Amino acid sequence: MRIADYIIEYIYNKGTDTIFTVAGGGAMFLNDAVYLHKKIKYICNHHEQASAMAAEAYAKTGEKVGAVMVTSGPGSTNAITGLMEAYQNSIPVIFISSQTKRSQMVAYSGIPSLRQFGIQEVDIIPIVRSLTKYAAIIKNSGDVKYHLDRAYYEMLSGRPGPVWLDIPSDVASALLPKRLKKFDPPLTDSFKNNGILTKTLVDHLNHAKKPIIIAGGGIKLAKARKEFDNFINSTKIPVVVPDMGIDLLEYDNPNYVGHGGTKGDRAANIIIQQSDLILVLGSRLAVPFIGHEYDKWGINAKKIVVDIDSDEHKKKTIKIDLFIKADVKKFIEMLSSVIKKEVSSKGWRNYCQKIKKQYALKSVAVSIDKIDYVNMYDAVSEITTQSEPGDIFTTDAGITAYVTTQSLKIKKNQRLILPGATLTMGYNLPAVIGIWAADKKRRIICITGDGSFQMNIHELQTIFHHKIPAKIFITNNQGYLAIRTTQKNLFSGRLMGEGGLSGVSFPNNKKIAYAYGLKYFSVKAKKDLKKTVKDALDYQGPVLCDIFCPYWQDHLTISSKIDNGKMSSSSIDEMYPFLPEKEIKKYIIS
Amino acid sequence: MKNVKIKLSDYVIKFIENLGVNHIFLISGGGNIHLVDSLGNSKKIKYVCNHHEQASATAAEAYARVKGFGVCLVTTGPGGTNAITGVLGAYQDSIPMLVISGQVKRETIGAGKIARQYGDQEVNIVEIVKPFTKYAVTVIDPLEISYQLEKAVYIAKFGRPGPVWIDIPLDVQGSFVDTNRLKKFNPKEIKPDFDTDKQKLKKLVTQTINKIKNSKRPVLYVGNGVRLAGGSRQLLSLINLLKIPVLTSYAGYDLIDSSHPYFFGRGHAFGQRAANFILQNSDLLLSIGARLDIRTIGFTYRAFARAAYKIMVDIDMKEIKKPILSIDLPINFDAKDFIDEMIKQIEDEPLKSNIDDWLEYGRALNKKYPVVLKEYWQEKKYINNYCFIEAIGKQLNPNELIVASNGVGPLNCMYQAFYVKPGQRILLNNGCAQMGYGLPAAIGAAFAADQKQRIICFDGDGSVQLNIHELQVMKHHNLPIKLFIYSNDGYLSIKNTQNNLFAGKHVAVGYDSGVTCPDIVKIGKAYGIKTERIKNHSEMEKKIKKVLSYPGPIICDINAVRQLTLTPKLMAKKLPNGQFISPPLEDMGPFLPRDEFEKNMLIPLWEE
Repeated sequence: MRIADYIIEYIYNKGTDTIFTVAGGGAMFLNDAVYLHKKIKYICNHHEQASAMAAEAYAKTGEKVGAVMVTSGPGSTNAITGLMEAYQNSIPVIFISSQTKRSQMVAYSGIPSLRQFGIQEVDIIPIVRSLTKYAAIIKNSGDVKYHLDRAYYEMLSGRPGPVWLDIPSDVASALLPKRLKKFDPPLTDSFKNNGILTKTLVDHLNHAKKPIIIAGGGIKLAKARKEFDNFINSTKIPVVVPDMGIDLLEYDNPNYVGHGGTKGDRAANIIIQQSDLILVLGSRLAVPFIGHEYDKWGINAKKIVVDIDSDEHKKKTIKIDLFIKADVKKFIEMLSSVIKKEVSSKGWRNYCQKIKKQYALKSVAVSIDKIDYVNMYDAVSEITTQSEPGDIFTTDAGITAYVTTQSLKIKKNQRLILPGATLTMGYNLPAVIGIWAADKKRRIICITGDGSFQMNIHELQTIFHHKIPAKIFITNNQGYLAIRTTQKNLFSGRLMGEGGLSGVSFPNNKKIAYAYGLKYFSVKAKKDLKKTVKDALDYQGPVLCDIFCPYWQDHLTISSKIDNGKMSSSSIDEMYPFLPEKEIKKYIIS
Repeated sequence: MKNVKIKLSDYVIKFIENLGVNHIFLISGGGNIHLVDSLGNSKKIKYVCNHHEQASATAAEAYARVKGFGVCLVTTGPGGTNAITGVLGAYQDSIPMLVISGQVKRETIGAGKIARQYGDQEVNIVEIVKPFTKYAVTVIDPLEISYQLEKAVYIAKFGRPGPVWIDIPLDVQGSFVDTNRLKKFNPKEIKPDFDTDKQKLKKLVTQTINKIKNSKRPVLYVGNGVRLAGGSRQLLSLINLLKIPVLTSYAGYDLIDSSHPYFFGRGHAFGQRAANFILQNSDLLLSIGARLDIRTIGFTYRAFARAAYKIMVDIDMKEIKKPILSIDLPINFDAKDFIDEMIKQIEDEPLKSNIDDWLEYGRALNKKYPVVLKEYWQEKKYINNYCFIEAIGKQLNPNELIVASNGVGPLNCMYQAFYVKPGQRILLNNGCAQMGYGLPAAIGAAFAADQKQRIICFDGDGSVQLNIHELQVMKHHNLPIKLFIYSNDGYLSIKNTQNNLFAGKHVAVGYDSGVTCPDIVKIGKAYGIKTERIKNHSEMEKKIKKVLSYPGPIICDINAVRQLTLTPKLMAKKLPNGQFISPPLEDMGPFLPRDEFEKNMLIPLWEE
């Protein structure tokens, strides 16, 4: 057995059944090991960026480790955006890069700043280190097990994240030695409840009149969905989610309020501002969630934050009253053992549900052009209405992503796969591929904008090749609506780099679909929306559905203004389009 | 002094206007929005919007190859990381360019320091790009903007050129600065990391000339460093004075035209057989501006030019010191300064050496070992890469701008078989060798030529996919790019490796192993671009003419042979006892009969 075979076997044995790759000269031994392995499947993308993103989406969907195999030089650097995504979203993905042989590596040349030594070589580890939990060259074949064990340990312990192993070709081709160096994982300081903490928490919860829980993606990462569900069902504390928590609860769950944040929905933000106790579970409280006016966020509430990563809460944003560094699953188990009955009052719960109904997105007037194209909110609402339990959604960046996360009404067992922190344009198609590889039974619904769609458009070929039956909806508004909107609002309408008249045009998607052999649908008027969405969703194979949307389209948001070059914004319950003063007064409870 | 306040983003764009750059490649984003706005207001600079930041960086790199400097503008987070591969290419090929990235406002900077991410779509990009840029910095103090820009651009061009990166937080972009209070950069801050001592140069040049005088078999090997130093014109003068065989490197094979009487070929592991014999049999090797990487000198590097006294002129001492080289006379000077001094000294005292036998030896070898063999033309169904390169070479004009992307046909066969005419430029991504280089590079070149000149671009069906979205940019600006695509079912180069070393077990290379490529003609049509196909040799000449004479953007599919091994090529050799060895540079495969091989050798055979 060669080192290359050992690595592939190791990854497979750890539960990853598909590896994402683009072949390369440097990667010849690892490519061959995949061939010989037979059990592990491989998906060839048309850009390493797509491989990395697909692996990340695979890991998110399957809740297991994703794997990427890339070649040296540009093969490795092409994967970096996907690596960053995995890192910033805490997703365990192992990146295996191939390298030239050791005698031709800059790392061992004794000339550290040499620009290149071997063929297509780059010293990749220093470049990726800051985006990984562990990054190393496997220099000696006897260390292969050590590095893999350590990589898996780092990847999965504490707050998860990606790792990167760089394999010189002469190590990859070497035979596995008999003696292998071992890795001894350090003893982890697991969360210990000291009694006092429990008492403090219970006191806070019992004293609160208007408690809420902010449920973040950390709950999924800690595999605590079930525990969370049970806890909410028994305590009935109203729940608000950031982007990454959207698919934790069904929209119709009586404890669910909504999705908060600067691009969230109005109901959730109002409730955050009205509550007197905010218990945050597994959320890093990102700036887009809390907004830019930190001291105005949750202004009436005590804030208790439970997260595995304490660094995240050293950001100088909101003031946290009590921080508990803990694995969120263990924490919920602990709390469930001491609080077994309803915590919040009926009045508060009813108020939350009233606000949820009153400000459900559909009733928010959203101004659009006079052109008879489809309002993006109508489009996404129609898709979400027609979706079935168990469907998996994905969206990526721009206003399309905002509208999608605002409009989705999660049904039973539905999932939403997002690029999260990175908001990467072009995540859409690679994500579809990764989701499919992780779960071939569920229907995949991808909603993206025409701008994002271009960035990894080559992946249509991968979708075609594997006949992945994804339903890809494009909200076609002729460019980058987010940029367009900012330029309209903050730069006196000086449009630049956002659409056809300012230097960015887009191909005809019908022709693109034809060129890549995909079924195409389009809809240009609201009256045809329902039928076309149905046709697209019902079609058996891969579908591209072009929804023509207005060039201008407002969206629900916290708006900013510029004064003398400085940007400022309002507090998160004052979303644009603004409510009349009278109405605001009505919902405020003191 | 009058108080002059200017918005910082306007200042940045004005600074770039004064660099002599007419275009900036970009993608707009929330994080670079002030810079985008200022650029939109500029009267002097045109902006080009790509569909992926990798393309923006690569276009700026190619632009710099033609115009001397390139600029691209990206946003925070993925905008920056998307650009990395293009910047790596510029670094490894020593191309001066400036990347400006937007960053989150200063108070939310903290990714990698405080948390994995702090601001919206934030990443600590400077930390990531530092290893492959000459200078990378986030501008925190608005009053330092002039200092940082001047310093960055100075460093990018100074010594061995390369890319630099300036990261500007959103609130810094939008701030107003008093131009009187701006901190200024003093070039004296930057100490040269190469030799500049004129007296020393004179002595070294005299020494070099003496070596040439006493040499019976001298060779001049030239690389792209000569062009980067601004010495390509002077190089031709030097060659006309030296009158010794000149060989060209992978990155610099457009330095001398193929009809030049002293052009003797391209020496390289994947180069030409005659050139390698000449290089290996020389008794004096003068290399100027070539880094002499492993592929240039051969995998058995100790056998490289083993009978020669080796003089290497390179601005980067680290290249000279690479452990695979043993240089007798290192000259760590600027290539142009060296060439100028050579010319001066030779003009003062002309060389009087007689190397007629050596010249005759080289010319005879070149005649004996052509790259494009007659038998290749017998292919009926498909197009042989070498034949295509020969055919199109004849139809191209002097001074043409040519982009050679990545892969066997577009890059490797080109180097071996392309007949360079005077003034032609061949842009290629040598060190990094990124797939997908062709299209964005052609876009960069087209703008560098102010859209006044056609661009010839060669790419493969596997490679072109990586930046296929850039077809829209080509269409949008109606760029006169003639894009020729070798369609051969995927990644031929990797397929060849799998055929040779892995018993033909194909994985991830073509239709039989998980990779399909769409029909480029259909794709071209989807983007509304004129298309053409060349099916076989008999229609090739006519079709090439048609494509070349079409005024706007056009894509031409080449029905290339599915199997083609680079010939000749330095490759492992199996000995009668079953052992594999890596032969020296002169012994390329397919291996010559030993008597023929020995006849070509003027020095003792290499023995392992």
